[in-house]
Amino acid sequence: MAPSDRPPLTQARPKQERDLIAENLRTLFDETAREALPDRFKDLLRRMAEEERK
Amino acid sequence: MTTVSADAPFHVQLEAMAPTLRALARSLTRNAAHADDLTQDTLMKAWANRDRYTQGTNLRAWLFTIMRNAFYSDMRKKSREVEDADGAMSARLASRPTQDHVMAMRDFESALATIAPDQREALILVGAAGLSYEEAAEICGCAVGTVKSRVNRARVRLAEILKVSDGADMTSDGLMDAAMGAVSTSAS
Repeated sequence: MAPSDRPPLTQARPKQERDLIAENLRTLFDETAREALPDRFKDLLRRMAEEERK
Repeated sequence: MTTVSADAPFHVQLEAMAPTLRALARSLTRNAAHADDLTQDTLMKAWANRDRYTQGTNLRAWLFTIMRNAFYSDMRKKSREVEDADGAMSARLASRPTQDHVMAMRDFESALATIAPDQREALILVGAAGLSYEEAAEICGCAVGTVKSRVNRARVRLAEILKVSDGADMTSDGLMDAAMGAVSTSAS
């Protein structure tokens, strides 16, 4: 369900509330998980790769 | 999350888990800079202790446990500091596009920040990170029933807070009043 299509929580039934909360939680989590990794992590992982190759 | 084989080199497995770790760190710290520090700390600890990880077992749970321990250890060290969670959250959200969806998520995130930490943690692990109750219980070091109870209480509390903010008063003061009501209720 697109965010704009969600019913407001004031009109939601308990089951809907639960689903909406779950959906918001996953959205919040997934938005961060989809972000590109900052360079500091790429550098760190590159050093790990070099060490593991040795 | 990118899926890689359990036989893949350890750094490849860590790289695949890094975005999920960042998301969990963001949920725990509610601060983008702290979250990246916590993620880096977790990756380095995992790398240093990679000989203690058994290939093919639950890497995600192992990494989440390392992150959780690092987070609470850091929290204890900084227990005297007062965190400006709202300010930190605003700074993070300022970089996002301005959309109704973002505003709705901001309200949701603000509400999430007000529920009890143990309940929020359980809800994030199960509801956002997709762990089973059993995995979450192992990570949190408590009984499965305790996790279920925390998740349920978190959901109920979140719904209560968001109902108030969706209703009579949509201002940040209204949300804060609702949140403070929730805090005083849970503290009593």
